[in-house]
Amino acid sequence: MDRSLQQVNTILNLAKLTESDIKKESHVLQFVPQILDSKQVKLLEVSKDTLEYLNSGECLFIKGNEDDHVIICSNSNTFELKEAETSNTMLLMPSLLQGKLLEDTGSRTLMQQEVFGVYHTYYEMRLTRPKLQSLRNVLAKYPYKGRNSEVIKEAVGLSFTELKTMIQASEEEIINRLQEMPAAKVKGKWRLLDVGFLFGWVSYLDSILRQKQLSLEEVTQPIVNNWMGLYDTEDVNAKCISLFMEVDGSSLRWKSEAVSQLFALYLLPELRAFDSKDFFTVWQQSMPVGVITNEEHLNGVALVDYDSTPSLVKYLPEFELPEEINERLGILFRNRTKWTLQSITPYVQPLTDNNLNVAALLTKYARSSTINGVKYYSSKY
Amino acid sequence: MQIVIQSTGNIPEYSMIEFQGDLETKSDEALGGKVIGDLHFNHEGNPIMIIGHHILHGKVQDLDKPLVVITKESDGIPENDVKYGVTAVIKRKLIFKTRPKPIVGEMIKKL
Repeated sequence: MDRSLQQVNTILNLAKLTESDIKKESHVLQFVPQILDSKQVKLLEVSKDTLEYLNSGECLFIKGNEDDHVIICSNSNTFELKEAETSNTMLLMPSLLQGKLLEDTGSRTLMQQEVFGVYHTYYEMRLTRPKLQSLRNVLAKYPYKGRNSEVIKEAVGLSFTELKTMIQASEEEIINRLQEMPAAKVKGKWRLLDVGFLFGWVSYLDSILRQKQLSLEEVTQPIVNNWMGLYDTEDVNAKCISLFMEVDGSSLRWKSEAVSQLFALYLLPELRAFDSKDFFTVWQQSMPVGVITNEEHLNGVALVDYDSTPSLVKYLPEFELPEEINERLGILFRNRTKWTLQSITPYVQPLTDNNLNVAALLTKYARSSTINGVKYYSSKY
Repeated sequence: MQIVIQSTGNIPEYSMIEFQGDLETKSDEALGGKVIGDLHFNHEGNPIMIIGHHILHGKVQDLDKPLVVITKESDGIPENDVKYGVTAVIKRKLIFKTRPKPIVGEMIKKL
């Protein structure tokens, strides 16, 4: 039953207000017959940028995972999604503040104002680091060991659409990571390029160069493409070139660090340590012509333990460590008690975000000490 | 598992009223169709809300961060294929920060 202006005015007077105290237009708030409950309707707090993004017709994507950690992505950014509860009551209704509504002209009127529902929670979005570690892990189930090792004819691996639903990161972040990492599209599906395959690829090219007594700088990209066309597909070869070579126009140069790291990953047997003297010798000897190894190239791949006798090189690749900061640091400090900033950076860098850089993360989660003027990081516990 | 929040752009604006406490009905009746109360604006443009025997004085506030209203599109969509659509955006709200004050005086007759 609709309320009359008279009823409204009576109550107004009981509240010790008169019609002269208020604007001419009053509203009666009334729920719609079918309330939109919080199962159907949710409130999402967004930044002005995200609102603009939605206003332009772009979508957001909510992605959950096994441990109930929910994120929400735009096309290019990743956010944490958190439910926020308030003890206040929020009523949702069509806009009543638009335009001339607040102008005060004409005679006293009563407007019916629909209310859609009552809410006590909303969701917050906070910019976060994309969870990209799992990208390598899911692709690792489909290693690519070269076209001659393909057992079945059908494409195996994961399509980009599949990756997008599995990985807790935005489309742009996934594309960028796929470009940087040793992954390639084979018959339309993404695969992880096997370390043994990559080692074989670089070694094969190096052997051709040695045979022809040429250095990489002396040949051009079309020549390399031509030679390696016999070895694998165009896409895979292009990826290998981008992973291991600096391309400047048509001239090429080995990326020393990338090649050294690849060879270390190949040479260092998992779960075993190498006598460091032996390792450094074998490592340098195995390099393509013109690549000089440097102990620093091991950062993020292996660590040299000078405390043991003889000193040892231990296999410890960054991509095998857990993504959770405390778990990761726990493993690092078990392997080595004290780390310099330089040596620990490759292991911590991937966990940084806009708010926390490497030094800030370490200050928060590790203990620092200074010995002979050098700053070291060790376990907090 | 991925849930898409679809936007078709040019999102319409909704309003919001926020106040302390909660709305209850006698014997837990459903709220659907019920009259909540009256809303007035004083000459400064501040809202005054009367619910039952309570009066609330509030103000209009711009939200630092807008709230987007998303609605589940449930018609004929299987549970693991849930989608949301962007229905509206709230940029301003009527906020009643102070506790509701009782209206004293004559007993309010049946509203």
